[in-house]
Amino acid sequence: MSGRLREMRCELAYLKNADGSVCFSQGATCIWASCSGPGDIHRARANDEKMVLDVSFRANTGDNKFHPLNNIITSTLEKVINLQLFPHTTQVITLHGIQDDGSIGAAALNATCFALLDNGLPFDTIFCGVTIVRINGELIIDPTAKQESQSDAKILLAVCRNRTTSAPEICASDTIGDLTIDELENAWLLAKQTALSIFEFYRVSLERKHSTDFC
Amino acid sequence: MRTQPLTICEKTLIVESLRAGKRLDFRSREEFRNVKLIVGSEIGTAICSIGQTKVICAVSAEITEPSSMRPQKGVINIDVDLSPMANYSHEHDRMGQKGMELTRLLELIIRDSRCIDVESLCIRAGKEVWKIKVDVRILDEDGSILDCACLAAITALQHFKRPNVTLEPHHTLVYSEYEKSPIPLNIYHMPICTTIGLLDKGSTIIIDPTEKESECLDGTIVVACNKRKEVCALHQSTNLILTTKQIENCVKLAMSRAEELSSVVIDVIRQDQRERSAFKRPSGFAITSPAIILNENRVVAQQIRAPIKMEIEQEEIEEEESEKQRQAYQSSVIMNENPLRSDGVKQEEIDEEQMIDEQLANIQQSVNRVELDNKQSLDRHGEIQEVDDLLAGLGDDDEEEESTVVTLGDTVDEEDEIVLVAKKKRF
Repeated sequence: MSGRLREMRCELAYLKNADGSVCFSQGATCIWASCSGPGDIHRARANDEKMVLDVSFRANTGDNKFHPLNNIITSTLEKVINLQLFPHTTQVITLHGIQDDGSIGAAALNATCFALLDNGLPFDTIFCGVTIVRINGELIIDPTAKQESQSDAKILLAVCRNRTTSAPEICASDTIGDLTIDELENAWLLAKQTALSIFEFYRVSLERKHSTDFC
Repeated sequence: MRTQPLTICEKTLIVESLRAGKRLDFRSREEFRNVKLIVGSEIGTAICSIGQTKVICAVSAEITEPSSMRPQKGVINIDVDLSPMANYSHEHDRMGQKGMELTRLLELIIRDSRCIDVESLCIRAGKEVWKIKVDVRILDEDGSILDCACLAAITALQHFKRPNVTLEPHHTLVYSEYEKSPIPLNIYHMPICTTIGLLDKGSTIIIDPTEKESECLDGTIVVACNKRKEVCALHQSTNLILTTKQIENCVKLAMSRAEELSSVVIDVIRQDQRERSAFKRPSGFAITSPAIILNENRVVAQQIRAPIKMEIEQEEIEEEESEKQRQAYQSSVIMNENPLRSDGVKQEEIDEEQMIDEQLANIQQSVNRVELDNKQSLDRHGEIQEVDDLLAGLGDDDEEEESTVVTLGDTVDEEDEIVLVAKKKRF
């Protein structure tokens, strides 16, 4: 069982005004992500117990009031960030899908993590996204837009790292199509390996960025 | 989230330096920032950046019913989105005053200057027309947003091609790009915007102000021109009273800028068309030129191999073992558990036995080492002798004196130098 993960590129601290930002691309799929905060919030929307997350994925065209990816990103972040550390504040996360060439969900999750890492917000564990599709009974990681349109089932997994054993584990998922348990298990095995190489990419990129700061 | 206002000392610094003809980014007062234009791999998308201001524009088309007032004309719809990415004082899905102003001005420049031929967008008079949607997304703000948005919109409109259609008696056929080649829009001219800042009641002109500079200015004037030296739109913010001469001066500046930028837009579009006609899929926005090299990183495409079942089981066993070991070493874990339970005591006993075994092994090994040391001690006599010889060499005062004399003297012969080097080496 094998698959191909497309070339990944990132550029951290990309934007001037945002606290943390990244231009992340996976093959020809390109996402710009930014996050700002913890910052002040209007009294009416503030929460006394925890930080308020404001996640918005914005596509190039059309109305952006709601996007299906907002839910999975928010629920992943709720698990990963200790929100109770920052009551009365907000964290605003904006994602712009600049160019879509398949697995936009996975790229969005990866870009979110990069932006948060760039911001320097303390969070419990890192996470990444992996998209897997099934074409003619074969599982394909990180599909292009063409492969995605041919597929009959699609799995988006948000993978985070276990805090104690540092092994990858699922923290959120979005599945469309009829899949057997065996197929899901195989998909998870593939996703596990993919996640490890993405986590390695995070580490190398951040080390590179901070290589001059600590001298 | 609220943004910090500019401090008074910062304001005075910027204003004073502007009056002296200097700017914080080393430009002169009448100098523009660099413009970058990229077109995407999807048709009708463009990113424009002026300095650190970044704007993406995407153009799309759909078929709608025209208004009853203009039954033969297509519709152009402009939408501006100011997200918190551009500036965290904005909120998601809320236009705000700034957004409204931007939308109105872009409508004025692009729609009301009649640069796009709307009659050719008509499919069936009074029933079906093309609606061209221009979605402008501001990604980062650093002054002259309107210039950047306008340039991005114009480039995207030039890049855009609408699907081809044929009319049948009772229905319309819309073709995909593989069936019939799509048609570009008819664009008569390209209005290009220039923001000019005014200081001291319009007597001082500051071109292309950054965000901080524009907070210190008395007002701005926006001039949209095309390369045929026509003014397409003129907009002045705040109620400054300007003389005709001042406005003429601004327009002249804007015209030279418009000529420069329209040739850039045409070049970019041509380059893209050449690549597409050679059946090369352009990589579009995926490639960026990093401003700071260390912030950029990439990893090449990689093969992912999931392990076969057997390997996984082995790995799991290994993991279990390593976990057991970890538990044994982490004192806090054992402390938290009930120390009186039979399991814990057993573990300790085993550990003790192991420890004793290890210690015994260590002692046995060290006994062997002592023997080895005895052998080595024979060599030590030689070493001591060598050291003594060296010390004796150091003790010779004559040589040291000689060397100091030589270094103090200005005239040093080459031979002496060589001798010195040789001596140093000996030392």
